Amino acid sequence: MKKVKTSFKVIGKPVELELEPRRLLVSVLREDLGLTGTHHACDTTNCGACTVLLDGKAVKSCTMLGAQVNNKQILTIEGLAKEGNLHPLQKAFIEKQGLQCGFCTPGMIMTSYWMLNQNRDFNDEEIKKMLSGNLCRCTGYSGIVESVKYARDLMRKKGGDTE
Amino acid sequence: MYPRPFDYFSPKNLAEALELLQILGAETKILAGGQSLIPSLKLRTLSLKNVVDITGIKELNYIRKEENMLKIGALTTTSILENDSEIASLLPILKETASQIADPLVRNLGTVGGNLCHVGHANDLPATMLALNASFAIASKKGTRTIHSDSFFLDKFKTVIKPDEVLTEIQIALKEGRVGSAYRKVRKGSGGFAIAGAAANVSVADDNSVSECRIAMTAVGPKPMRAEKAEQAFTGKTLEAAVLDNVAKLAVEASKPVTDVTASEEYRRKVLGILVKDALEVSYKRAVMGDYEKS
Repeated sequence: MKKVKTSFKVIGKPVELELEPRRLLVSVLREDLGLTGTHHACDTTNCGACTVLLDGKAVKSCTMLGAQVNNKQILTIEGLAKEGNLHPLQKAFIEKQGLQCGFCTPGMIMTSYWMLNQNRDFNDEEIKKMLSGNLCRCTGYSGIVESVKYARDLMRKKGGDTE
Repeated sequence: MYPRPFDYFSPKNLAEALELLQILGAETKILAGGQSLIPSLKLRTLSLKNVVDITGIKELNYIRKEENMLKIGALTTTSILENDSEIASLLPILKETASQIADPLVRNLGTVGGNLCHVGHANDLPATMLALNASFAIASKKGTRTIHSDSFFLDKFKTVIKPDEVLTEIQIALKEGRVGSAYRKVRKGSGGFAIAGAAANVSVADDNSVSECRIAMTAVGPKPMRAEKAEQAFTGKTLEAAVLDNVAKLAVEASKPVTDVTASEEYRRKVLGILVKDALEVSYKRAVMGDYEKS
């Protein structure tokens, strides 16, 4: 089993690693890079707690090999706040109580970030559909959906927040 | 859980991939989007010597309309299929099928070719391709062959593709005139596997009778299958409740569902009958009215 040289960018910062091919992206982010905001939960492609952005698109990092992100750009939850200021989505989740235990929250926010930075509008029904790959086991989803709607409105005022 | 160890290759183009596949031989699998392959490796229901990651091959990622043929590169992601505006107007069934695969995050990585080649019993695109009369271009170092969807799926997790081959393109002939198709599915929970699914493709003659019909079914047998007797029973008829009841009954008789954690055999049959009727009705109305429910 030969290790694979993998270079990619995380939150804009270049990284170069020698990876065992079977290692998953979520573990590389958490264990090698210390980015523990990306959560490792169900480990079966169901829950979405491990969601990150791969070249701008939301994906489940437990269902990708670390080696697969060679030459790609990864954005994790740690990259959302700028200079100590929370991203509108993060503010919205606090304000509208979009969480209880908070374990699913990084994934919820990353999927929402991907959605709200697309060049189109999402209505309430579409927001629910887009979040269908992210599971919350605490509270039900109304607080989460309210948070995303609130963030959508905040970001509309600001004119978006593209990475 | 980690997969068992394997070696990893990431060819930059198709020629390089075909070369590699010929050298590596058995116990090698292609990673096209990985959304079924990686879970199988993690659960260790599958162990491999080699993984050939073809996700970087840009030449296999396209949607093209050439004269009366729609050509879809095998590495087109299911989210592109879902969101392409030309697809939505040409063949809404493709958008309909894609948008019901797993969840949006999985669709950002999962590919059309991967969905077709994996042939888990609940994959959605196989039934749709069978209904659409699709053909598949398959390449190896020796050249390219084209196989019709009717002969492509052999069994659960098994297609005609040999270890040194790659599915490169899906080809769908676009029919002129009064043609409509639809895909219907019921699944267990959000993002869960299909309990049953039905794809239909109907051509309607000037007198409003059905001139051609194809019906294919998901998750009600070891592999995606057509319901030929049901197709024959709809041909020559018009959209009437008694006709649909009979056609659905024949489709259910052709199905071979099993009981598993997702649903019981009986429930799958029950759901299948309803889905076949629904898919046929929507297909027929799309054929007759053109813009009927183009999602």
